[in-house]
Amino acid sequence: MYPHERSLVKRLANKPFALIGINSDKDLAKLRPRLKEENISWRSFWNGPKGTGGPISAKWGVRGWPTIYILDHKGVIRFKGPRGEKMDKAVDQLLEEMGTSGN
Amino acid sequence: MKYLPVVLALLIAGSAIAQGGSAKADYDKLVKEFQATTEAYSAKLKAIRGTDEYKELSKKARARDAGSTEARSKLRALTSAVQRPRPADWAEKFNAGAEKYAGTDGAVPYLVWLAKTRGHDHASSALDTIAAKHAASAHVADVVDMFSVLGRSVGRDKVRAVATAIIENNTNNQIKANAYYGRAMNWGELEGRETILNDEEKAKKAADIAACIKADPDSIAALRANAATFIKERLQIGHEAPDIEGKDFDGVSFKLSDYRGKVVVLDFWGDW
Repeated sequence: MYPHERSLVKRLANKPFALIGINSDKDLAKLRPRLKEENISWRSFWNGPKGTGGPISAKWGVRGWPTIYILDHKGVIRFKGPRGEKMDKAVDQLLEEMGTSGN
Repeated sequence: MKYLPVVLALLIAGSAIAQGGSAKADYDKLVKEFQATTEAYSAKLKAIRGTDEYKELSKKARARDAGSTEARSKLRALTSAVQRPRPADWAEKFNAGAEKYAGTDGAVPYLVWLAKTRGHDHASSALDTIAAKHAASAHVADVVDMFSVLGRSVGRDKVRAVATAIIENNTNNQIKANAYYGRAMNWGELEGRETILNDEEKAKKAADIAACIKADPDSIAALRANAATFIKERLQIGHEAPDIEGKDFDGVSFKLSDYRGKVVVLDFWGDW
């Protein structure tokens, strides 16, 4: 999944787009070297030391990882769950609505 | 001799404190031993899997040809050179601790360990002891988190009985909220399995969810208990996304709403 996210972030670097994570790893010390290895540059909220039992995922009722929501520029939830190509299409559609095509 | 009762009382109090202190120290020591053993095992296994011999045999085992059966048995021989720590053996040690400190608060961490850890025969009786003698203890905090999982191993009725004992006896609101949530989940999953509950069970579950949120509204248990409602009312397509406030990996606070004006992919992820 990281390669897809990396390419999405790279392709849309100059667009009004952000990939925001909510990370549910328990141990940040173990995660830090992985961020470098996998070149994970996008910003994440940390769900805390309880990992998948942390407060943000508890509030949002997340039970499977990854879980995806896609919001438009007004902050409205427009898609739930698309991955891979479907995610790319959804994001491109929302950028087009803003008048800034993804390509 | 009129001071004798006071002296006796002090002696008893002193020994109780000493016992409490050593119960914790004993428990911490045992947990450390267990962790060290588990880590040593993992490290040895990793070392074996890193050898050229192991890698070569793995390739052969995957080839699915005449030699692969032999390769698989050789692989097993290599990994069986290190002894996996057996939960059943360690459970005996934790059970001995629970018996040594039986009836005191010092026994509770041992009982909680036994209740939470799989692969041995003491989990069920540990839960019985917690329900009968230690439902008011602050140490049960670590087991109330586990109720939804425990139902699968020791049975729903048992989990419900423990949750009920904790709800009735414990005065810590966070623990109570967790126990209410555990019992609510015990009636059936919060989402998706609603249909298998009869009306009476549905009502009991709804009451437990309400009690959980009331006991400690800021607890993670309350957030979870409210999640089905939150999804329905706030997380549907077309809803403005609820804001998230939190910290990034560098400890810097930020909000989801900081990104208004941009298309946002919100990704709940983990590196596993």
